[in-house]
Amino acid sequence: MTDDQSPDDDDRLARLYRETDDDAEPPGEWSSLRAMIGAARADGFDEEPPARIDALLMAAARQHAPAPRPRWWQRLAAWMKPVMLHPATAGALALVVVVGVAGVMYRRGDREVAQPPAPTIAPPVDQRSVTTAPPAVVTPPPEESERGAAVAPVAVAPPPPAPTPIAPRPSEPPAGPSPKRPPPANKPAATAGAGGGPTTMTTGALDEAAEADQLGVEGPAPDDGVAQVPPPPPPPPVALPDRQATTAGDKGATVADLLRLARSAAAARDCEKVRVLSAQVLARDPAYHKAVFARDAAIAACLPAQLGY
Amino acid sequence: MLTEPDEDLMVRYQGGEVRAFEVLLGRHRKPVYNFILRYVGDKETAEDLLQETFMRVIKGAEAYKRQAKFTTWLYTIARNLCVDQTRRRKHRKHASLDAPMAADEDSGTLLDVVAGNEMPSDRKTVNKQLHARLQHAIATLGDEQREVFLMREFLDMPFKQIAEVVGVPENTVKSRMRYALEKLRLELDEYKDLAKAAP
Repeated sequence: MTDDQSPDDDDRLARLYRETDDDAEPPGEWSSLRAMIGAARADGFDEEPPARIDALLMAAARQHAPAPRPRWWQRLAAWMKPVMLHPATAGALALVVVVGVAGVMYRRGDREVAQPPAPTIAPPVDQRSVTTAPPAVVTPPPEESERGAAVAPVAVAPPPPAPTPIAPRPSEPPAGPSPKRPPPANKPAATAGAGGGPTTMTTGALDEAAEADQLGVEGPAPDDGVAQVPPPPPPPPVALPDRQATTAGDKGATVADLLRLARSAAAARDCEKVRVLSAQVLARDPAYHKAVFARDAAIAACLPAQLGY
Repeated sequence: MLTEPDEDLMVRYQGGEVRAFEVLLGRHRKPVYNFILRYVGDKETAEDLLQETFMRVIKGAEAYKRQAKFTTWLYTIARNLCVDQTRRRKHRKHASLDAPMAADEDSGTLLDVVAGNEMPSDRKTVNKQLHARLQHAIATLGDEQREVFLMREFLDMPFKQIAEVVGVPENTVKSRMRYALEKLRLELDEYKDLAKAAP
């Protein structure tokens, strides 16, 4: 069949099948033919396919139905699964997680979590052990060690450029073994035990300091062997027993010890210290405070009258 | 789902919805079957080809692209199967004039309705005659004219889409259609008035 379609034929076909927008009359000879064909189809010329074919096709459609397409995240998970299950990948990811968590904690300032808590209460120290030199971080010069002086542990801190020793009291005996208490800030500790040298404490102060140590003085243990941060400058020698006594009461001293300290303070007319100790005794054992502590004549002189005992 | 376009239903079937294919089958089974039946002229062959057509749709569903028009794809499959079937038979069998027109034995033969000169009076007989003559006229068309005529009249395809399926220019399709119409008009001219006059 050749392609001999003329424009006129094209127009006739277009009018026959209403493919143009105009309402042109379709060609009569073809339109009657189409009407006859349409009537025949409406009267049963078209046939229905057998129903068994539908059943066969539906069975085949169910059998060959494509598997449901997975979502994008399902495809991603299917792709990632063998990769993630590899031991090396799993280990690397675990490492990344650990490092990530540590990084986050570091950024939040949670570094202290991994550090041991600082000791709050130092164990009581035997006074006799104070004379033995604990392992010091900074060893004094050899000539000083050879002189047999007990060397107190010295914190790692540069010595002051110009130490100004305090002149000893007339009644002060030659300084013995230095206690473990750090020396005053304006005095290097290594010089405290040097024979005949000036000391920073009187004998009484040393006794009280030792006593306070026995009761449990705050500070690092003598044998902890760990370099400690330099303690804050201690108070002047005269005030040292007061502070130690005050803190001693906080660290587990018995009321009897506090009573003894209070008597000493009262004898020294240090009513302020007596009142501090009184408050501590009262807090620990009110009955003892009323029956014993406040009955002491020297102590009662320092206590306010409104106690009412 | 019943009003969805064919392409959407095919995509649904790609997603595993068998119900979508059921809708597609119900929508196209009858036109495709009649196209094949009028093309090959044999019911048994038409049923086989109809089944094969939709089986190819089922098996090719995963490769279907949403951009392709479903009917173009479906009718191309059906048409190619008909062409292959016709080539296998070498010589297309025309409907036997002494064969029953329908499955029941009382339906008569094509010879009964074609050879008679007198016009039947009742509607049923007129329809039977008309169907037989129409089937005969279609069967006498050439393959190229017949496939174009069937696609335009029975599948209601526009000429442009027929050209895509057949693989020829649109003007060629129209030319074939014109020849087919002229031949059918001559074959059925005597039934033109009868079809109008029948009650």
